[in-house]
Amino acid sequence: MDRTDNEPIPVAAPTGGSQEGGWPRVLSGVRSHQGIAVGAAIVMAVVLVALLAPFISPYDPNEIHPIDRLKGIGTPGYLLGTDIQGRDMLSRLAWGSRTSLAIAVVPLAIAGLIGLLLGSFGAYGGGVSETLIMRGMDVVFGLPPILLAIAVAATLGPGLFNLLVSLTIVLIPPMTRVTAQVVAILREQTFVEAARASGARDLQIIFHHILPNSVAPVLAYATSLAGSMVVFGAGISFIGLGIQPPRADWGRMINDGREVLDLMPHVSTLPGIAIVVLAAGFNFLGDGLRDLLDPRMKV
Amino acid sequence: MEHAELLRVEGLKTWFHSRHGVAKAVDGIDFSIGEGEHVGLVGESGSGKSVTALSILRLVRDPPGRIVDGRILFEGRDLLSLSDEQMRRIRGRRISMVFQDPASHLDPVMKVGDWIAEAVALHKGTNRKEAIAEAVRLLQVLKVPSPRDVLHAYPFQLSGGMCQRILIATAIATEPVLIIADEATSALDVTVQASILRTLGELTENIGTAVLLTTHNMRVVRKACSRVMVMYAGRVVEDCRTEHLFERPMHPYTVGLLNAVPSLDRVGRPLIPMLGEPPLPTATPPGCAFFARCPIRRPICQEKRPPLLEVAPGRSSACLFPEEAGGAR
Repeated sequence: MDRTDNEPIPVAAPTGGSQEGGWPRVLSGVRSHQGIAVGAAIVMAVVLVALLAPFISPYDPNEIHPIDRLKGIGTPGYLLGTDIQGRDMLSRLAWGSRTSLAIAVVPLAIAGLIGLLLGSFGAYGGGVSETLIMRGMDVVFGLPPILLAIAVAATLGPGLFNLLVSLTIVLIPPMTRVTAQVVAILREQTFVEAARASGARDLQIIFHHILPNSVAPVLAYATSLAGSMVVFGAGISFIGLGIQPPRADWGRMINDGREVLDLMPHVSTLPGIAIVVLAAGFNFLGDGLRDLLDPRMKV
Repeated sequence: MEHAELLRVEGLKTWFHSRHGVAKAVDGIDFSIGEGEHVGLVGESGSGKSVTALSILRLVRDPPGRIVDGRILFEGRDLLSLSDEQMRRIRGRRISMVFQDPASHLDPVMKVGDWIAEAVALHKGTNRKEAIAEAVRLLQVLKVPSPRDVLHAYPFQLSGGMCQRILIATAIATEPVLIIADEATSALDVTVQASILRTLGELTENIGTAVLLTTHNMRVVRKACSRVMVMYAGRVVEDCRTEHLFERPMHPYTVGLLNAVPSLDRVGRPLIPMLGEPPLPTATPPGCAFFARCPIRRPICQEKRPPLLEVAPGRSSACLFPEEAGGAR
């Protein structure tokens, strides 16, 4: 959501190429591929942890050990210590990665699909439907996303499902808008004209030509938003509107450690680090994909 | 001419509305094409060739463009009065189009085989497998080596000439009665150009398809067309059999065009560039559009736009003094 309105969205359209040649371009190319590799590695690592959570967790994430409350990092038996109720931090972090990933991926996938459809129909059709869809989106887009997410989550009530719904609603306008911008460029492309000239129906053009061509840039944009979604979701859980205790969640865990921040900072800091790392991984991946798909960056 | 009439365009006007005024890209053009006839539409950039081609298929983008007047009679029906759905059924099935810059007229993320198959399936109602088989057959006819490999390629993996063959295969697949080739060979190098023109000629000859070929290249016209129309500032200014045009042009603009390109007929004689610029499409003077550049202009030319009239059997010119235009060459 850091993209401004007027910035053109890169599509695989032929352009004259950048004026700036030589080393800066080569370096930026290498950097973007490195970004993709680093980002993908981080995200894959978290996915692996989420998948293997039952096997790598030494304890049940909700198991309370009243005697071993607030143990520090490296305590025998508790590699990353315990929280205020004596629950194993490592187990809770491993299980918490599941909700964080779900928050990052599920709303984006749903909103991305809805956005692709709304955006492509709106922008391809043009005229009244485009005006209605896009101006409607502008209304929602005008609200600060974090406030909107909090408002929706508060209205729907707490819980993972409602959190996913609220984030999906927040994401639909930017995804629609970005699709519409991509489609607005695509519909002017000559191969669309050629398809029309060969008698293709509008629906056929949208589904066979417009959508397949817009998936890549839209996917890159979606990935760059995934990082913010991790932070959003954690934030909403932190203020108590998202994931409910005792389920392990990184945002919730930061809140749990708030009271003992001065004595035992690891209880809040470890999930905080986890959030930063995952969000950074998604951002690296998203930026790298965007650069890769941006024709101006092609070497 | 012996051809039965297939397409007749009468007084077609396609105007573009912009901030700078109304650009009359096509401003009252008249012509006809017979069944199976190969006609060239020649003119410099901005003369309205492509807009004419797009107007026939009603593919001019509106806004900013709009067909404001005229009739396009095709097989007895006025295309301008058809519904969008009726028009869609004509596109690709009865009239196909081949474009300039073939690589960008293919979907970059679609295998070219699927691209052809889609057009075939759309108009012949065949399933994908049959459509692919048909595509293979077409590429064989177009003398494409290992057509199956080509069909599995994406456009960026193919050369411009190969992409153009794909577009031609797509256009011909449905056995249309008219193919509009808009600068179809302009983006290709000369040898590929020649081979494309030859195959296009042979194929259309076989199935009796008429061709309207727009180009700025006199050599292409001479090679591929039996009749040629010269376009200037949105109108046809000369219309005759190709050999007559090259023997004895009857409009000063045609003379200027022929003098400006090298030719084996006139080895050793210098090229004569045409003076001046074509008028802006936003400002159409009342008289002859070529007046400002014309070597044989007279005051009368400024009064009224000269109509396209038959000046000799089978040939028309929009010049008031066709006999003086260039004389024998």
